[in-house]
Amino acid sequence: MTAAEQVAADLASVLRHLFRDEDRRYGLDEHDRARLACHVAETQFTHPEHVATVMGWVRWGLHWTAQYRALTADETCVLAAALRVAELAEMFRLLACLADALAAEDWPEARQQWLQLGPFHAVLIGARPDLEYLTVLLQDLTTQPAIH
Amino acid sequence: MTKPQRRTPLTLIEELDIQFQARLRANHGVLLPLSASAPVPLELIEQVREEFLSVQEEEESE
Repeated sequence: MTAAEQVAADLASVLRHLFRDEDRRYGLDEHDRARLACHVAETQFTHPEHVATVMGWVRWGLHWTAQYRALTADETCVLAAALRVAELAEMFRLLACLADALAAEDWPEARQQWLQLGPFHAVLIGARPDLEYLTVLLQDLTTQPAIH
Repeated sequence: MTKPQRRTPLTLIEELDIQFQARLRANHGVLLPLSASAPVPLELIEQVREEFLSVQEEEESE
């Protein structure tokens, strides 16, 4: 399974759990679920902040479920998926901040954002050959005199 | 006094998150199944919405 397929599968798993909501944890009524389903279908659900928010509901929901009963195997998988997706959403949020800083030529801020992206450096630079542009960009960034 | 008009309406996810946060607040941070949850007064939802908008306006003005 590629990384993209893994993310899609994780997201689908978390959304299925949210829509099913067997314990009625998330408080979504039928109307809310229908609106959310339309939103996901229309937007592909790629906005990092929205993704992070929904992953937060599920993480919180399963955290509290685990306080009063053992999570099922399916719930454990959903929680792991939510954590992976939330991490990725955070990476994209930081990348957006980095892009803003680069566009503004605010090198100290860009450096700060790049450092915050530390856990994802290997993914960003090494894992995908089509990220050559990003690699070049970041090399430029790290050779800026204002940063060093 | 009239409230200042917000530039963009809340997104669906923001609206649902406000409901979610209000429910958490009504239950003192604990997320229980709906059958065991305290009811969420509309006033509390409105209060959370106001706080959310206030934070967002501050961020937009920065």
